[in-house]
Amino acid sequence: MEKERIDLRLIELVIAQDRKAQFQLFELTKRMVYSMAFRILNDEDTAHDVLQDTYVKVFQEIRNLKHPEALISWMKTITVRKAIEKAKKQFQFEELSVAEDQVEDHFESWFDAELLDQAIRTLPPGSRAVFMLVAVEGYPHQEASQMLGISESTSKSQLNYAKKLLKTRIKTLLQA
Amino acid sequence: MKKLPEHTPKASTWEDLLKKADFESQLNNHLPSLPNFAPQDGAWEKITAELDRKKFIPIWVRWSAAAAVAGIFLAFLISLNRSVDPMQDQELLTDNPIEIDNSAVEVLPSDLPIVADAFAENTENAPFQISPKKKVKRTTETIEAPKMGLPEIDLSLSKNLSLEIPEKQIQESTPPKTLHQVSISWSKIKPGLQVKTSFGRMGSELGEKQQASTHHLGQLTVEIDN
Repeated sequence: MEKERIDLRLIELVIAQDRKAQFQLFELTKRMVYSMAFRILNDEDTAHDVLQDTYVKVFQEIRNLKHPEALISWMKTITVRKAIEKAKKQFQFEELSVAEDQVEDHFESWFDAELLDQAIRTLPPGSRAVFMLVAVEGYPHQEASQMLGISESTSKSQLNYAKKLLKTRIKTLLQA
Repeated sequence: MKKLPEHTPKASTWEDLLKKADFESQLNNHLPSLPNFAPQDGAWEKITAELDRKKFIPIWVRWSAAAAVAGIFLAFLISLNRSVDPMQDQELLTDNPIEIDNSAVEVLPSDLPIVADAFAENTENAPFQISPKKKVKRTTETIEAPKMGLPEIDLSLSKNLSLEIPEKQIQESTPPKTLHQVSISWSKIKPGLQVKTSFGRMGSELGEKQQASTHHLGQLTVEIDN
């Protein structure tokens, strides 16, 4: 929906440093940017810092954007990079055996998006970041591992670990 | 109300339901619809403040950078002038001043009074005047070179003398010996090219000189099969 409402005229005005157009773009995209930052960091204050840094960079460098239709994905990438930059010290990645994690537990429960969101926020920072980048935002393992500064195999094992943890956390939340 | 007939679902319905309850499929269904969160109300004010602050800084940085560049340029020019002036002074103040003969140029003041007056006016209006003490006196001393003479030789005696050049006994040059042997054969018996040298031989065999390139030593054999 946001993509449909952000037309090229608005982007041109933002490039021209029109403050009203900048505010309009902020209003259209602030929930997307803040939610992404908050899910990766799981901290409101740091997420607000990331939000601020993201928009400052967007408004300053939007004139260099070659393809205005890719504005949303460009903003998402900036948000992810800023969030990783803020919380890189928190991330701890342990090399996990993929074969062990791929053993699926039997899962016969029903859950909704709200419960899934709660479960995601309880994940450890490293595996949560990998899950957000790969599973939610759709980055390939190669790109995600480069952004996080880890190997591709670590990214894969962390994703499986996150899914396994999500199952147990969802079950726990359902029982509560 | 009429009772409508009841239909039984397929036997695999329960299994299909369980499949839909699979974790991966549920995950893929719910991930795009995760709830969004709104930032605080004051977020936009902070962003605009940061934008204004960053707008101000570049102007200040630009001015300071321009001032720094101008300063460096001026310092470079000053240093360049300082480095050039001594060279000019050195060129002007040579150790061997050229004597200028002004005798041909000298003109009596009575001949050109207007010019002399103009010169006097110019000197009065000049920003600085050369004090008489500082005037450089050009000396016209001539330095006499010492007389150089050749010793007189009595050429009368040399008439009866004949020039005798001692004959040197030139030893007939003996053809240099060589230990290299080069033999070229066109026979079909020994095909190929063979080069024989004296590398690796004992010093006694090679003689005193151990240079491989000397013509006294070594044996080179070249055989070419034609």
